Amino acid sequence: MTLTLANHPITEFFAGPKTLLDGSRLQVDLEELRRYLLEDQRLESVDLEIVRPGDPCRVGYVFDIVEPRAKETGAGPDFPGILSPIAAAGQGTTHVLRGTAVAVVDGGQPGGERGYTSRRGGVAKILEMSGPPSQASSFGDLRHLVVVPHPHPEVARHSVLNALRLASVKASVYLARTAQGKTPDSTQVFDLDGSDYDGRKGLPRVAYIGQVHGHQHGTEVDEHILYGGNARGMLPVPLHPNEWLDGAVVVSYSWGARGLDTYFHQNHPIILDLYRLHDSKEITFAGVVATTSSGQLDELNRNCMVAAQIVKHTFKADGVIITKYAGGAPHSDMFETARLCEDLGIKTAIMVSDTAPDRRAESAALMNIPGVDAVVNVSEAADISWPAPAVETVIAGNPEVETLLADLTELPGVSVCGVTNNQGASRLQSIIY
Amino acid sequence: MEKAGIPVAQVTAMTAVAKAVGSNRIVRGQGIVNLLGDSDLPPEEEREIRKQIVRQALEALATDPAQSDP
Repeated sequence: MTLTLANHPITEFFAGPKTLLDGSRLQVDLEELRRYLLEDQRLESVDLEIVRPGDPCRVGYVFDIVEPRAKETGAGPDFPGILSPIAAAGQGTTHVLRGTAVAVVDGGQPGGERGYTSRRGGVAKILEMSGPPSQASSFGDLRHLVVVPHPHPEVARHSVLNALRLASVKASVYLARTAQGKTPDSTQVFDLDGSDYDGRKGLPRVAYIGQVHGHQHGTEVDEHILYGGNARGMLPVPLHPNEWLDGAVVVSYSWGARGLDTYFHQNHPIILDLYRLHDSKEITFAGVVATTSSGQLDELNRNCMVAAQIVKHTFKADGVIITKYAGGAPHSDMFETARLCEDLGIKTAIMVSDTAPDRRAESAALMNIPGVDAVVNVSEAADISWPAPAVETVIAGNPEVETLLADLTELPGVSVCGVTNNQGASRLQSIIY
Repeated sequence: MEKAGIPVAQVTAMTAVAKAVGSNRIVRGQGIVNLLGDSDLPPEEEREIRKQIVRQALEALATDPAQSDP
């Protein structure tokens, strides 16, 4: 399976009479895009704005951030199971508009549920475009198309969330289709099936197990997580890493929970790094497993056992990296999977996040399991905050949030998109001295 | 609370965490989302589960942690 990312760096992103890509200049016809998004009858209206790095602008609350990507014509499905019929992701050419993103805002509904109060996982996220918080965020130097869908009041909340998800991938693909047929600035080829098997003798085989949802938050009936499915009852499933990078996985609605954005499924730091080490022949990238954290103990034990078995006997891995999804409970699944992997002789590293804001290292790890001793704390930025930069523009989902965001005096790191990430994408590193 | 002389039974879906923090009496709940019940069951069946878990917690309170393995 070979995936080619065709990279088109964008240096200018602006509204204009026609949607087109001219070199590194991306022009978008906002009215055409609006009509396309409003084909979804659940939406009453959609606000569209373009924000740029350094703009004195605050956006909230963010539903998800997606990198604009589109398959080359005939190369395969865009976001299969959500936007396209089910077909394997991860092969052929995908055009990527580097330096841009689609940021979708959840404003709830007039008179109905508000996105920020009914949010699973509890943390309402802000996109900050200026000042120190933006410099600390992976999203601060991107050009964003901000999409604010306003659903009709009578639409059920789960369906509102489904409409936000659909809008996010539609806008992403709409923008990136401007690159179809265009010569990219650079390409990246992702392929694990090289012919040089002999040259890999003796290299450690390293796998990745990533949680794609946490069932402690529940799951909506029409929620999209893996190939469009809602992951209920899901057992750990081996995937090709290309599928993960190429639209098979989007974040669940527990997005606000501490550093999860579809952007970092598309640009997954661990998968990309394992690929890099595979290509430089430091390791052999053995494969990836998508799993969930569980709401019940039997489910936890079953999932952890199956994930460890896949890594041991299907991937024949010597080492594995495990990440969690969202909050505290998923640590249980991660630790148990790590314990089982270590028992099977697989060297295991896990990535935890401190759920305690008291800045003590002892608080960071919820559990202590003998043998599970390679623990990386990726933080939740609960102990970082900045004075809120002065802003001229607030883009919010409703007037109430607009006032709230405009009046902020302090921005906690945990509430700023892109400061920390469960998979380790972060610009900040703590140093003990 | 234990130090103050009040016996504690912890009902939890994630027993490993309770063990890790040294909880004395651990009772396994149904799940994280519905700890004492099961929303997938009809109400009358769920009621039985609720009674069962609460009863187990009460029984746990009557035990001496030093004499049993959690």
